[in-house]
Amino acid sequence: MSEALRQKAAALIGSSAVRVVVGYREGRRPDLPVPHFAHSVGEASQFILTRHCRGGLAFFARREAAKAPAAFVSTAEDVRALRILVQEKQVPAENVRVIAFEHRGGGVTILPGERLEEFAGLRAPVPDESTSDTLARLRAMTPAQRWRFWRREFDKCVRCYACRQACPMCYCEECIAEKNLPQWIEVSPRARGNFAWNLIRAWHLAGRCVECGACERACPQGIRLMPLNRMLADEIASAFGYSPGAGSVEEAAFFATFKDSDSEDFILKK
Amino acid sequence: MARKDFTPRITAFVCNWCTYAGADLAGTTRLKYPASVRVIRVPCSGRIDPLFILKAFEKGADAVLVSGCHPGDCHYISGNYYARRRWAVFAKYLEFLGLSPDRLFFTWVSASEARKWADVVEEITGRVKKAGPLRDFAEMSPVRLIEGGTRNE
Repeated sequence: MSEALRQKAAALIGSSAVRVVVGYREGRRPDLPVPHFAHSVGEASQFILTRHCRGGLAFFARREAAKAPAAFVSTAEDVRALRILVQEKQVPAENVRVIAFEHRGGGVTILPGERLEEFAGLRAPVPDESTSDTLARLRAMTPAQRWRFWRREFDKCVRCYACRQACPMCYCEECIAEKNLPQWIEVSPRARGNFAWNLIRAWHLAGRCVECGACERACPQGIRLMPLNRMLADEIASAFGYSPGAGSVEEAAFFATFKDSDSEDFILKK
Repeated sequence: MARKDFTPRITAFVCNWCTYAGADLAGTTRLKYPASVRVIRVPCSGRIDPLFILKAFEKGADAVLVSGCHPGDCHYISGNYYARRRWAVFAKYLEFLGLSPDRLFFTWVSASEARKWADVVEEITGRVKKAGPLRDFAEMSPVRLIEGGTRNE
């Protein structure tokens, strides 16, 4: 598949359709490809596409595609992330091309389509077994049990913010966790700040998480972050019928709009 | 603390144009309601960030009440609609994290609904009283209050 990718990338750069193609090249370990930015046809020959390419390059969209056209070697989750970035007015749709691929039968296949508009209707991946098991277990618990579960999880947090750094959707130049006037989230890695941080991290991704799982993979402490992301996604899907990144790229982001008919069940009846 | 002596501390985030005026009217019409609620006035219910709610709990609130204009009545046309969508998800989220539903309340109170404001405060005070002091956040506090009110490790 690497050869097909190199040709596609070279064509995009050669025709000046894009300024840069963002993809993968070989890292120091075969199972850890690293990001590669090809600005010339020559540089495109270093691209690789293997089963170890796990996505996440949408992360570079704001840097590479805000001002000039760029192409991104993308998983389905990356494509959805890019679509949401366009909806949130972080990059213009006309600047983004994708070379989409999917993992299939231990290998990799390049998918047709190059423009974000062509990828409407993509849905979040089915959660892995451990995520759905944890979710089911949590839903069967009492609130007090759930509270204990999350306290234990968040107690592991060392506040390295790897979850944030790995996330393609966490792009604030100044994160709320770093604001200190006023200080919303205590910075020391103790219970209170850990709880606030982990609560807010997932919350700020509500309606925009593409469920790529990068946060959980990046966590050195093995905190269960995906059940949180998934719970929010489930709630938004069931109560609002909304699926992040699936709608038109011109549509407003989930929390940037509303409907008259939005649910009001949670309002105190009186 | 004995349950019957317990006066809950409820933080209420209310919008300037409807609920605050409603609460004000409740005062000027001399309605009696429990003195358990601390009102924080914000421009619009759309201004209420979930971080406010979290902070209130961290600082010792036993419950939080969020209230704004009825849908269609927003002074800024649509602030409460944005807020409604946010809270609908946030309420479920806190429940999933393990906060009891008796700790976070949402309601609409208009500028003329003094009676409703008094009733709402009465009702949630009763529910929070029954639930007792909120220990969940106090237990995770990294700092403890020592006598004289200074913070120390």
